[in-house]
Amino acid sequence: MIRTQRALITISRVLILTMFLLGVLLPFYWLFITSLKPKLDILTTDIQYWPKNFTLDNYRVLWQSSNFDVFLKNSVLVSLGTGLFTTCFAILGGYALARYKFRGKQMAVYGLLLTQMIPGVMVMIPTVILFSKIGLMNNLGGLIMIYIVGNIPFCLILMRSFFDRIPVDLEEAALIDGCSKLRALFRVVLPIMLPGIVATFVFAFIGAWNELLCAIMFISSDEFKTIPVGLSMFVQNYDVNWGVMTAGAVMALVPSLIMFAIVQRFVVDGLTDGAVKG
Amino acid sequence: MLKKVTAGVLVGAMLTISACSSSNETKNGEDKGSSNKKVEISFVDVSPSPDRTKYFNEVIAAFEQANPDIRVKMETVPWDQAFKKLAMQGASKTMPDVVNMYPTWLNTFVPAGYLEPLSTRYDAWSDKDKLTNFVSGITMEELQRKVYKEIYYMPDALMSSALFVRKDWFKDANLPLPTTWDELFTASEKLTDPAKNRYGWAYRGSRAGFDQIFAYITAVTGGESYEKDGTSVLLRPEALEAFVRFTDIYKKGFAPKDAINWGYQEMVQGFTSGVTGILNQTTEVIATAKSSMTDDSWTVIPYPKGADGKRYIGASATWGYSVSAESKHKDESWKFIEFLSSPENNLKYSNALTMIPIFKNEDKTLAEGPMQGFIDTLDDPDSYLVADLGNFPELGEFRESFMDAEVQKYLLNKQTAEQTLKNLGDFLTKAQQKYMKDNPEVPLPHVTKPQMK
Amino acid sequence: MKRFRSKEPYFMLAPSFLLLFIFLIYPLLSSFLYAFQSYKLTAPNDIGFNGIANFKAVFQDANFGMVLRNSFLWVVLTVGGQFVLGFILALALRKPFPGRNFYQAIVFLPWAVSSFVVGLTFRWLLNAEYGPVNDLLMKWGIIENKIYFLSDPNLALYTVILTMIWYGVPFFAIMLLAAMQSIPEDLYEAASIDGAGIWSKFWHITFSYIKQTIVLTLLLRTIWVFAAADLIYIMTAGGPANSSNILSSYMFMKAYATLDYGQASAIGLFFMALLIVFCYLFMRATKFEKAGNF
Repeated sequence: MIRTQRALITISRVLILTMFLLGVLLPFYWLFITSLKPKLDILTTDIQYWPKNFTLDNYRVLWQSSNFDVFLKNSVLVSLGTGLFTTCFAILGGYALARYKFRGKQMAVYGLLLTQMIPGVMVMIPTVILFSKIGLMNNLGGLIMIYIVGNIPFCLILMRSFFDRIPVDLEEAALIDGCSKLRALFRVVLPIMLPGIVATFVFAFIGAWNELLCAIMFISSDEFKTIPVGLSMFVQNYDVNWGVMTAGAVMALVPSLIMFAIVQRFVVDGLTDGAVKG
Repeated sequence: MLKKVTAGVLVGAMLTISACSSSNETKNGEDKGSSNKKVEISFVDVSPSPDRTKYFNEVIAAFEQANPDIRVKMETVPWDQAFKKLAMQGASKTMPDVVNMYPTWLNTFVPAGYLEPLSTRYDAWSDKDKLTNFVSGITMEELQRKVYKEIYYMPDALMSSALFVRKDWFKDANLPLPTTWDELFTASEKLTDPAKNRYGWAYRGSRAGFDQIFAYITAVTGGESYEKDGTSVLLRPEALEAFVRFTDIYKKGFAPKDAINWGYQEMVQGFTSGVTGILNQTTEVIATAKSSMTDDSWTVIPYPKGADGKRYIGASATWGYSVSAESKHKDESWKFIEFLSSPENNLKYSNALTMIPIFKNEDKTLAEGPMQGFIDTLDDPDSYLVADLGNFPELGEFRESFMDAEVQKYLLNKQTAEQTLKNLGDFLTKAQQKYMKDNPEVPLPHVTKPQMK
Repeated sequence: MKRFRSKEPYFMLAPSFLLLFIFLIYPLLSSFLYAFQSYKLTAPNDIGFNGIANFKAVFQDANFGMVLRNSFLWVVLTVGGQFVLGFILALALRKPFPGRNFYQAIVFLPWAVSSFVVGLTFRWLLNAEYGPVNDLLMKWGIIENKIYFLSDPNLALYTVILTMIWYGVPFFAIMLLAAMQSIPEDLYEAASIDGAGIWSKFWHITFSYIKQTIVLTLLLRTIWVFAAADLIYIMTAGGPANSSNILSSYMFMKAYATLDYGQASAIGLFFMALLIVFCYLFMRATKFEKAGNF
């Protein structure tokens, strides 16, 4: 009985995993082979599932004449900056929300939820006016600031829910052992929290990595444009330069893959890994 | 301890963010002509493409060489977001000095006060007399000064409607290339062969698709869009017939079923990918067709004539150059626009982007091959320029969220043709009549004669 | 067990709330008044108080009922689909298998693509004339006639919803997986000793332990999806005949085409009111505040 149940579970697991993999890979496969086709072969009624006239021209154009290296650098910078700051603020704030009672706490949490309901268009113009007054328009620092603001409410609440799950006695024990509160936090709590911290970081990183509207509205110069803006430049009013755009989209996947590959270890390893310096 | 950490994180954040800050922002309020200071003006292109960017970079380099005390900082914004971004920059007084202006944006940007009037500068401009009558008469006077009391943009070039056809399909079907609307409708039926995945017409059902229908409706209303009292011509019985006739292309299956969702990109893709045989578009598309089709498969033919033997064409400035009202360097900005608009640069631009130059072309040596064909078509005694939809403030709402949805209801048999035209016509009539009451001095949109000389 | 401590939490929350105040709350307050004014950016000298005229204009729109219904379908199906699939994926990924690290990195990728690339790509994939999906289904004999995913008014909205689900599964998978990974393993061991079955373990341990994360991600995802209109704009522009328009895409398109900032603000406030009501009901239904959260 147990054995058949186990076997069933294993089989369904393999099936589920295969389905998800196919569902994800097929659209990406399409992007990938499109980027290897010459323009005449891309939009045809006789659909090519493998490039007949294989070419790397799209990648050449992307790297040589579209500033893609600049976009890539900016995107990595902005996403890392957003991820790091947001995570730091969220750890601090989440800890406060989980471990303290204080006046206005309820309000603070409701306030965080409320910020997520504000339609961007309502705050765009006042924010632009403010930014141009303090010189944050058209610079990456300003963009990071916007992204931190956009991502922090969710990250705070998320972090708090992870802290909530950790028994307070763990910390108390460390405190009794003579650690300061801060050391207790770093020594005992954060290692356990690692999956949550990493998930928070990923959320903020991806949020900045993908964002298009603010990146268009707040950045004007080519030297500060991010990848989504760079890619949207290949969509003209009557023509989509599919070849170069898909080449760009494929290249943009590489840093995301690397990031996922690095962090997913932490998401998965969770409790077993304590590789954090005290 | 925690306080210290918090403060540390906060200070670190601020330092990093200020370190990211750039130091090359435009310094406003510099003295003009101060010998050691360069004035920097910003210029935004709202429809960037590799060809355009290449051209602008060259022209800016030449301009900076000719004017060593002015620097031009070029910016680009993707077409899809351009209106939104400029509107927001206008509202927050951060618009670039020189703006690439789409003519239909005037009716929102001028009343909002985002643009600088250029009338006195234009009137004193030395190359003014070389403009074609089309530009000096229609683009500058009829569509700007008579409506807004001032000139607000210098046109970059003209574009006109053009018919792209699959030469080889016509040949295979033994069909002559069409010259009238009737022949076009017949051809679109004959070229359709769903088994081969071939359809006659690149139908545009979405994202301003109604413009395509209206282009045919004006062919039966003598090019007019309003009666003298501001009633929309859509309420005329012949408009209804024309509407049914045109939409039958879709309803009878001479266009792909998906075309109800097609916008500009898809209709062009439909043609270049070999799904459709006839495309009604503007001269700009020539470059795309060249790069994505073989030369022997397609050609451009003159716009069709209506039953009255006349040709009613849409033609207008493609974009234009405006100066923002907030600019601190209006003189330098105008200087740059003058430079862009010199006959020599204008010709370079027009040829690079397959558009019609704004200057007279007396000896016909300037414009290249196909472009001369467009000029000749516009100059033909039988050609007339259609009236536009007007300048009322509701135009944006009509175009963005009303007209296509109404037509789509008819295409999907959710609404009768009569009801559809009534809804569209009533909307336009109400808005136009209100506008006429508020602006009695602005002339009604009307048919004109394009004069390319 | 909560500690009473004077000022520490305020200091710890200060950086976040400072930023939120400057960049969200303050601009919101300044836009708040516009909702009750006739304020068109095109008529800057013509701004005046007009009471609730802006709100009236919203409710009187002929398409209001339809886009409201679409909004409801959009939110429920999108969030539901993303959540269920994300949960299944997270469960499947819980236990190690060879190549899991690599598998995960790939299967989370959709999340890391810009929405306009996703929209354009799926628009092409599902196109009836030169889209591979129809082509393959026909070649393999699965369908007789082409499916008009984006031009059939009965399908268009669901097609965009499917795309949106594809796009959002990784978010739920990562969040739920992270929550699952912090469940102490000895809970399961203890349950096994007590002879608990697979389902009972799932219910009593996995589910109850990550309930808070589920509630939280569902709540916020609903709020985000309600406002997310970019895929709709890119794939169908709300068509055909508004059949795939939702409240946010339709209303803002209308207000922004005419730069009617007063109306846009009114719409924004109306949306916020709807969401606040939703949050309230959601929290009561899920006993959110009892989950040790409020």
